[in-house]
Amino acid sequence: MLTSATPTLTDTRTERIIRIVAEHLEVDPAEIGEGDLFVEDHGADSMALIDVLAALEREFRVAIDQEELPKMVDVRGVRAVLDAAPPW
Amino acid sequence: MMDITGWSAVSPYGVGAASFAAGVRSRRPAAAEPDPAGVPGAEVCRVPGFDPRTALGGKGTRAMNRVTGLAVTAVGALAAARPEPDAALVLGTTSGSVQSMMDFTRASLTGERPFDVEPSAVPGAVMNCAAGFSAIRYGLTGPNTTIAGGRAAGLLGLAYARRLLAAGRAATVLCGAAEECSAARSWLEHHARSGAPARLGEGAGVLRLEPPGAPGALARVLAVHSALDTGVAEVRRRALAAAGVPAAAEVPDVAALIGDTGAVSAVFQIAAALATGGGTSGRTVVVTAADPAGMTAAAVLELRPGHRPGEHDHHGRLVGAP
Repeated sequence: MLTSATPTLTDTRTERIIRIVAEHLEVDPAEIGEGDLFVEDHGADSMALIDVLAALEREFRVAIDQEELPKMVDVRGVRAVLDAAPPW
Repeated sequence: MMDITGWSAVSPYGVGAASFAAGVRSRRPAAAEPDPAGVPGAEVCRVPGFDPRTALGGKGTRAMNRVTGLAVTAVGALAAARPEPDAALVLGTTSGSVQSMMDFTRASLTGERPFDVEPSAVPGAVMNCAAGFSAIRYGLTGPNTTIAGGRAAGLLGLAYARRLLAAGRAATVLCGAAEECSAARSWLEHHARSGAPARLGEGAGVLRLEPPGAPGALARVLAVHSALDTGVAEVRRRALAAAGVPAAAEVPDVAALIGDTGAVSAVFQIAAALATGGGTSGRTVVVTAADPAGMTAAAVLELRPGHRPGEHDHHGRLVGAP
């Protein structure tokens, strides 16, 4: 689990997540809060969420099972899934 | 029979029916640029400055390919002019976006893992992407059909639309075609024609079709005929016979002005007839198309008495029509 023990690393990682999410949800990164719901707050559809998953796999070189999608409702959820995701 | 009550065009003359009408009336050749595939001596006529994101905004366009952007823009001009949720959409194509297909395949072959492809790139590599996105964007819940017929596609679409109307599947059909200029298409066509010179064009054109007697009709489609491995002269003769007219003015191909627009070429010919009044020898005109794969088609149109050149608004509707 990510904690405030490594703030710089955490921020960078969160920023990378937000950048990916923003690109695929077609919103400005500044508009995405950590607890914003992708679907309800930003109008994401299922294709956009699959795209986010695939882009995260490439960006962080991890394997994310599609079963994890229901947990990836916001940035915090994405971070938790990434933490548990095995590397390639 | 059915009536054409509106049309839209996104062409090498620019976005909108007005720029297309002005271009074909003046017989001004559209601007050309170097071929995107670097085919020696070749030029292409693209829709100037067109980009899906610029034309349609940043929502729903991130993964939208060019042919889809062109189609959505042309469909939108008619859908916005007169919203009709139940309308059917019939869209002609040659083979969708061959650029998107090649990009997708290339990404799979060159990525670190074969499945490292963008999921959102999948729809763009499928032929009915343009028709699907157009219907989703404008809420068109009627039948949604993509017809792959190369240069004959526009006229094959007319025949399909006529059946939808006759069967009562839709009260209005938006019927057109779209084609994009890309390096992939240019390269394929270059090799398909054994190096013969060509000037590719692109764009999208859409006609609004309704049962005969619709108010504000610009033209009536009297007959459509298509055949395989049959000469253009013969399909023209059959179409005229089906229409019951002895002769009709031939609508000149606009390829000399805007390039070979592939699937859209026949739709642009009809749009040119609507924009110019069909030439000098009468109100009944015939549009023909021949695809290198062997399909030929002809449509006979009767331009409406009330129709005069120069009376379209930017949606392609007759100004002052009900």
